[in-house]
Amino acid sequence: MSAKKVKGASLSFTPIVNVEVNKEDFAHAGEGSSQIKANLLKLGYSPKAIRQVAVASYEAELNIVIHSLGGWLECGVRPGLIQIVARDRGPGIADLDKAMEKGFSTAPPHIQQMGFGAGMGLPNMKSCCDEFTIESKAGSPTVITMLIKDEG
Amino acid sequence: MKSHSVALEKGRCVGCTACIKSCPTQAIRVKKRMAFITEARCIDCGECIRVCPKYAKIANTMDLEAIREYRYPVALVSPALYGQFPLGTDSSLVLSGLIEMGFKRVVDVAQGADYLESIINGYVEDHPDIRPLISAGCPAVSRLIAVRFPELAENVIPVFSPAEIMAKLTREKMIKEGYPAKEVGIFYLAPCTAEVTAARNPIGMDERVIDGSISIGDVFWPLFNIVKGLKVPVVSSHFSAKGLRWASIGGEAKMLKGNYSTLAVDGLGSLIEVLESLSMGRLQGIDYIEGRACTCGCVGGVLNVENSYVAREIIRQTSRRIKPEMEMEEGALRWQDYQWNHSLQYQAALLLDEKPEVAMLKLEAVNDILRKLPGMDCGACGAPNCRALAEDIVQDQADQMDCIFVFRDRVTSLAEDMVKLSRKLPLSMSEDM
Repeated sequence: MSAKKVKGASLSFTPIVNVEVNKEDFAHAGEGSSQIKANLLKLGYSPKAIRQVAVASYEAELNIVIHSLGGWLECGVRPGLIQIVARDRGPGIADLDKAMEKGFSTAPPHIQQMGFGAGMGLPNMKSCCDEFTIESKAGSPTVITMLIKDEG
Repeated sequence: MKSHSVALEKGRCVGCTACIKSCPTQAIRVKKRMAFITEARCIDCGECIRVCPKYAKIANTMDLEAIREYRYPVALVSPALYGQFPLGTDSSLVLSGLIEMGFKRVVDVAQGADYLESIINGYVEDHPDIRPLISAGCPAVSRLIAVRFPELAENVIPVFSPAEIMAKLTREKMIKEGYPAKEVGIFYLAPCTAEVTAARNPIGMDERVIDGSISIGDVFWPLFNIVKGLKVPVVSSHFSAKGLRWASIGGEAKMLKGNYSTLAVDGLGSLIEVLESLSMGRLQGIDYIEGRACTCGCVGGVLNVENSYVAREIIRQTSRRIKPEMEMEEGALRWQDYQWNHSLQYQAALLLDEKPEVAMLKLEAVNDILRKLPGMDCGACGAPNCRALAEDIVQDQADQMDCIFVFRDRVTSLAEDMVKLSRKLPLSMSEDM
């Protein structure tokens, strides 16, 4: 599933962050996103782009924590363009269209009670970035790729 | 840039590295047994002053003599000052003591806090699309956002602080009464370094409205001695319990009318956590954040003399004895009349380089160096952690040998080489074939 295309997306990105994210590790959820944000500030990306990246990467990180068997959060950059990749070890999403609907959640009740898994993760990620791609099917890993343009 | 109010008294600094880890923007390095502050990063929070065991970090404030440069000096009194006096001290006597010290007029910042109520309520109502809104009441918080959280700059409410509101109103009033503008000098009796800097170099405004700042710590003892001997006040204080409580954490958040969800966060550590969460979109449903860099709020300011918890309790007790709310004679103030000239500006002080390509190369170099450092974050090199040292090395401000672990490994390997060499015999004597 893929949305609008961003120019330069096929070129290579310089990796700046690659962190492992563990299943149900709520205590450390957000650390990867925080690292990404700190690095982007050092590189001179605009506050607007950083705002989008912070939300998109945190939602992706949280999705790995809540729904997956664990995975990785990666960030790569090029001048004017930031790429966030969230990949996991599965178990995959059976119905992608349904998963993209606002408010649809498969998070178990105990996680929803903690204030997570409100069914806004994927829609939020999509609305925060300029290009959103998700590859997944039941029984296989999920890979989410997001591109955020920095127009200064 | 000489606008900062945190400075170093060189003779006292022994280079102990106590301050480097307390700095929220990693602005301090110790070199040659002396601390140095990177001005562009300093947010004037005063944490380094607080933790320095040698009292070498000092506040750059004016002394009382400065008020004599003006014919009509005005004291702008922080409500935190009332938290320094023993419980039961009449606030009007405190103000009268200041008149005795040479001020021609005394004005309460707590009254400005009373006026702030309508300003922030108006702003919150008129901006339903920005949530949460962040109070600009603590200048250290605004500056922290400008340096470390620029993505949250648009959430900061761009209006005057209570001190600035009172400075503006007082100046306008005195000019109207016929005082020559140049002869009126407005001095803020400030509880913290951030307020001192904000008076000198206002956030969001091109022109200053306060002429100078004097530390509460410098004023307190002479004032206390005068107040002890006073029986009858010559002036009276004008503020409500609400305005007074603005000096303690939660005082501003409580001013919001309507069913808003608010967070009152004190202390830089907690505040940074909250701002991180906010930045990631985690704080859904929160409408307003009152952030204060100091524990307990302004009563915890580094220039105060009393313990922040005691001062907070004195303020709380005092507020129960005075009128709960202010009756607004002139009607409520509009935020539009007390708005900044420009929004909070991003201060790109953490950049590795102005040029993005160069910054990228430097970041890669930082990560390469970081892999060779021990990751102990011990601070012995004079930088707050290994990453900061790696950045300094890349910026040519430090050397890998500044790390005592890298240095020791180098010594070990040299020593091993020496031993090997010492056993080496000239070819003529060697038994190796």
